[in-house]
Formats: sequence, structure tokens, C-alpha cells
Amino acid sequence: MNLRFHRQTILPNYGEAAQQKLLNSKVLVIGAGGLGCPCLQYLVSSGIGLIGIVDGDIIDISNLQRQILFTTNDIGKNKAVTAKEKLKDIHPSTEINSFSFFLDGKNAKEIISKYDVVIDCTDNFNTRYLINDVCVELSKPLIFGANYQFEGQVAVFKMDDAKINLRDIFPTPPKQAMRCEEAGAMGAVLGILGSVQALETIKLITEQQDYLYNEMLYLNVIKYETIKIKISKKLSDMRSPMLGNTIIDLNVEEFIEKINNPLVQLIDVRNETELPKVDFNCTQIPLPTLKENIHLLNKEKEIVLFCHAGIRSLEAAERLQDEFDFQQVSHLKGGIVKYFSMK
Amino acid sequence: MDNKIKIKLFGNLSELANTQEIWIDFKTTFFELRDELFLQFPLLVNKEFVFAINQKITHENVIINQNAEIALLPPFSGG
Repeated sequence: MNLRFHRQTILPNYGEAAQQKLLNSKVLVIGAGGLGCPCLQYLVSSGIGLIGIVDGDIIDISNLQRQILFTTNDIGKNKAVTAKEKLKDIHPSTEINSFSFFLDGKNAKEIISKYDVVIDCTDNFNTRYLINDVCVELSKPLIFGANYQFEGQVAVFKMDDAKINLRDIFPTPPKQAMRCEEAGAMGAVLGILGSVQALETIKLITEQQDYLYNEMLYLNVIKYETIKIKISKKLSDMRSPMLGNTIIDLNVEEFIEKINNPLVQLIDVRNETELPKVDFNCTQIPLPTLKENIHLLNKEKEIVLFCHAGIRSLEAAERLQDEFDFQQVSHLKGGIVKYFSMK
Repeated sequence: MDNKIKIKLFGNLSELANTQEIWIDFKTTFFELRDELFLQFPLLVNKEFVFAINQKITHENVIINQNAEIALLPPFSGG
């Protein structure tokens, strides 16, 4: 029995086998700041086998209030290198690699590919989306954490089958979020969030049943309110209602769900004589007659268009959005031919 | 409150509205409710956030129950 890890191995659902998984795991922490410092401490002390730390930033006096691995004497030093120095004595068997530069499009894939789990402790959307996209490509589980004043978000994207990821919440990097220089940040709040990231990483590695699997935790520590949000796959190129209109491509499965939905109006834009006839209720408005029949469309409903092969329905969808100001428009990709071939 | 529905605000949205929850007239579909929200709180128009309805991020028009839990979630980036 390993005395060092005794207290965590006697916990329910942990034990020697779980500990062995931690000792064999390779975890990459990107950002050794307010989230990264506490997260790293708990990861090293829990016995993670290999830890990578990426941070090109230099320690500044204004960091010390929240980046708790660093002391006054460290001002001016690189964060990744200094963090490694501070962490190495906690559990000397943990191998630590420091990368004293920022993650970018050129180095991200090579670094991330060497680890099992990636923890996003960065402070800007550009790097967050870079990490997200590389993790999607390489199927690397990603533990996301972010702070705003007395609130935080933590999410676990396991990158299994559906590869649910940050873009299923916010499809493109947001522009409006304030940085901590403007918004402020409290060390203890980042400590909670970094610890939650470490804990979720440990749960993931030791294959616990309950963790934030494809969920995002919103935490407000003023009133201790939490809300746990289920994240599901965003349909193809659908964008949030805030970011303007986009036509949604529906596959056959998604299209079938629209049939008989009272909030949906199905529109056949083929000519009346075209075959095959469909086996569900819809409104027929041949594309050339769209304008004179526009009154037949219900703006309160989601408009789902289809045609023979998906070309005319796309054109109709574009016209509905551009000329007639419809918001929620989608069409059956591949057309009714595809529908009958898959049904 | 009769015929009103509560909407919780997170992040900078609660700062903008100066409260952590707002009440608006209840509407039976998501899109109508969204229109009502922007009508009553125009400062939320063009702000970046997603709607969570009953703990699920929602983009499509769905039917809303009056006891639905609705939250507006902005992105955070601090670390």
C-alpha cells in the first residue's frame, strides 16, 4: 500500500486501481495563471504521472494575488518554468515538462498529441478556440474552465462519439468578454474553479461514473448558485440567434423529427407534377411561385423546406431569409430522394 | 407573479440589467419569449449569450412551460 495516496485510495470508488490510472496518466495544463496554479498543485499531489505546463507569460507583481504558486522573488520569471520548479518537490515521481512559450497554431498539435487529457486554464478566446479545435481533431478530452468576477464555468468535453465541444455552445470566439485587467479577479474564486478542473480531470482519468460529461457548470459564488447545462450537438452550421441568420442543413434523421412537429411548417418547393409524392403533410409552394405565395408561410413557425435533391430548397431558404426576413429556416440536404433512400 | 416568467442572468448580463433575475410576460414559445425579452430589455439585444431552457442550451423554437427555468449564459474567458 502506498501511504502517500492512502487517504484518496480509501475513498469510495477510488482505490489502488484508480490510483494506478492516475500514476499512468499524462495531463497537459495550458496556462499557469489563476486557474492553472491551483489546478496544477492538486494534479501533482494526486499522483498524475506526467504533467505538461504551457505558458509563455512572465510573472508580474499584479499576478501574485491569485497565481498562488508564485512569490515576490519570482517576478520577471517565466510562469511555466517557475511552476515546474515549485511543483517538483510535491511528488518527485511526477514528471513535469514545461513549455516556456505560448500555444499557437504551429505548435499546438504536436504538444497536445503527447497527452491524454488537456486542461484549458488560459485567459483568452483565441487560445481557447485553438485548444478546442485541436482537441476535437485529435479526440483529446478537454477540461474547460473560465472565470468572470465572482462566477465561473467548468465543462468537460470528452470528445467521444459526437465530439461535443465549445463550438456547440458558442460557435465562434466571442468578442465582448472582458479580460481580468478590466473585470477584476479574486484569487480564491479562481482557486475554486481550478480545483474543480483538477477534480474533473481526476474523475475522468479514474473513470468515475459522475462527472461533468458534456455539461457546463455555471457557478456564482456570491450566492452559491449553480446551474448545470447539458450541451448537445449543434446542428451543422446553425448559429446562435444572436449571431445572425444561417440556413440549417438537415440530414434525413433530423428532417424526420420535423415531420408532425406543430412548431414546424414543412414546405415542398417542387412543382405539383414531380414525383415521388410524399407520405406526410406539407404545403406545396413551387420555387417560381414563392413570392406570390409568401402569405402561406407562417413566420411564427420554423420553416423546413425540401425539394428533389436539395438545390432548390437551399435557394428558397436563402430567399426567405434575405428577401422576406424569415429567421428560422432549414432545408433537407440531399432532398426527398435522400429521404426515400434512407427511410 | 401572474403570467410572468423569471429569467436568470449570469456574468456581465446581470451587471447590465443591474439584477440577477428579471421577470417578463410569459409567452408559450421560445421565439415569442425571446422577442418579449428584447422588447422589455433592449440593452440585451446584440449581447453575446445563449439561452438555457430547463438546463439545456436551446437554439430552436420550443414550447415553454410557465415553470420553465430560463437562464441567459454569456461566455467567460478569464483564467
